[in-house]
Amino acid sequence: MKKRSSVVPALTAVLSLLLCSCTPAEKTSETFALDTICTQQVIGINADAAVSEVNENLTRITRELSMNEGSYVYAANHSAPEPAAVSDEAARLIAEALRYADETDGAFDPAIGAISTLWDITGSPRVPSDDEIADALPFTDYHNVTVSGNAVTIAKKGTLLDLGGIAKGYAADLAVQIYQKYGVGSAILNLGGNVCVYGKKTDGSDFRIGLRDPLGAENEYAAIISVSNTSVVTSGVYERFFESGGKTYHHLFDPKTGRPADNGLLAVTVVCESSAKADALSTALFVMGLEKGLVFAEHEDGVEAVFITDDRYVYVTSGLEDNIRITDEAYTLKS
Amino acid sequence: MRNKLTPRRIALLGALLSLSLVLSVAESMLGALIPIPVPGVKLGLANIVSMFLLSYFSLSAALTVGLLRALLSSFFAGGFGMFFYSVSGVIFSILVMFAAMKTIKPLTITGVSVLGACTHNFMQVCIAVLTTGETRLFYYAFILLIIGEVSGTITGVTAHALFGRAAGALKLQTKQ
Amino acid sequence: MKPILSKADILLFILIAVIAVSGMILLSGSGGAQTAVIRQNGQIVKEVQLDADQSFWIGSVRFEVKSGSIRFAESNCAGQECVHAGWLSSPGSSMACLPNRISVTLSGKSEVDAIAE
Repeated sequence: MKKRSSVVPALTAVLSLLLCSCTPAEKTSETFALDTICTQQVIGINADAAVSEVNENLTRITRELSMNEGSYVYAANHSAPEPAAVSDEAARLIAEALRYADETDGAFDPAIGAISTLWDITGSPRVPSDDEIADALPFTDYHNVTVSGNAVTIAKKGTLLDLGGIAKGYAADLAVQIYQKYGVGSAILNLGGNVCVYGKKTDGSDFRIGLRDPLGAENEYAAIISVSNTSVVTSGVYERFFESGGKTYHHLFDPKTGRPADNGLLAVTVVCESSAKADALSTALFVMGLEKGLVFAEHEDGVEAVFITDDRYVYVTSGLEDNIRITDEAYTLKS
Repeated sequence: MRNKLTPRRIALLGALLSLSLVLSVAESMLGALIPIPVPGVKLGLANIVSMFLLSYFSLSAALTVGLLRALLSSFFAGGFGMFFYSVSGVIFSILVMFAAMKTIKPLTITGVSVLGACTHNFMQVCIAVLTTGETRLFYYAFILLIIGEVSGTITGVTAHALFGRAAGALKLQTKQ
Repeated sequence: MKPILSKADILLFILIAVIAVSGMILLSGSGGAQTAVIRQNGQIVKEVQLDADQSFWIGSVRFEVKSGSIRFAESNCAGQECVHAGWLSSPGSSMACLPNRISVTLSGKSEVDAIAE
């Protein structure tokens, strides 16, 4: 009996110390992809492998789904009106984008390319004339795009697919699958401001995500929400803009008018488990405006949203009322 | 083993496990209020259960319950990421408390408790530094030692007040 | 009744307190100063301590460090957004010049884990 009682504690001690030795690693990585800075902070036993695979995919998605020459999107745009053969992945994503366009009645429109290139907001931005815009509008219609199997057909030549409003979201969803594959414990991914959190933080608490102050500098936030296992994506007027003739023009175009949506909104944040959906909806809800957007978000399952208006009010869907904490006194939460 | 593990006492261990879990979860929630960037840092209230087990049962009983507590609390927190951070602190502090109880006789339960809380916290920082590589975290190690002293004292004094009576009520042999 | 605190306990208490205080004093030097990590194309190219004022070039971008903060002082990019962003000083915060693919991140933890923007 005496011998037995000293073996058990010894064994337990050794076993426990062995367990402690296989601690998970924390890996931080930054890479330039999707035209922006992408950072990951991953904690898990296979953190290294997970991070590498995600980075490889970010580079691959940039190559295959941007509008640049060599991508499937470029192929589709330039084969019009003939169909272009694309990858399974590209076909699925374009189909998903078209679905969101349908659901939001065109507020999100992946065929926005004709308008966005007209304003050239990432190159040499300019204010197009009314005629130029009127000419481009018929080509800005997602109905001109159809997907069948691996074939993407743009019926009207001149219509340009631009997946910029959903690509980052898709990339994040893919990263989540990779984290799952490698049994990652906790991760936070930031693709140029598109935030995706996997699991909770190592101390069991939710991730605290700041919502950018639309009127402040890059590191200033107006409010904080606490989330886990979801994505937080914001569309705001501060992201890409230019000034001309005393007016400021941002990049969130209303596909129906061909001009930046001018409805009193400064930023819209969407919280949703599907990052692609969050990405697409953040643009759509901004274009819809506060009233329509709020109603749409409330009715949508699994979607919560925050709207910041230019008179410094913050509106949220019911699911975020108890969660959101305004940290900048300049803003007021409206219930 | 100071007290034999009858089926009734095994049930008691189960109850103690639940108690330590509740304490563990409660202090996690408290800990969320104070932003200390070291994962798994807590006040150390759940140690009181480990001390009880070390005093009246055995090292293996304390280690087993401690391991299970770490396992279950990380499970409830939603993921095993937590497990590795908390298990090392728990195991190490139990071993240290056991060694102290056996070798440093003049130490009362309060002293043992302080030692346990401090080593638990210090271990957490070490693990955090090992995994993140950020040696700057050692700065927090010393603040945590003070926190450990305070919580260890509270737990120790509580243990001192309760243990004798609890053991009597549970009909456990109290010979040290 | 056994005493609550014995002499051994008090000794232990003092010992730990001494270790804690001396540790804090020893480390407060390096614990205070912040570090800025500058990356280009995701790779770390320079780590700077912000306790000394300085100015240096990374590629086509000039950084300036002053009073514990850092900023993009000059850049060859078209938009100049990085230059207009101003000084960076909060722990954990970061800024970038996308055309140059250069980012600067401050050490330490901030109140938020990320900012959605």
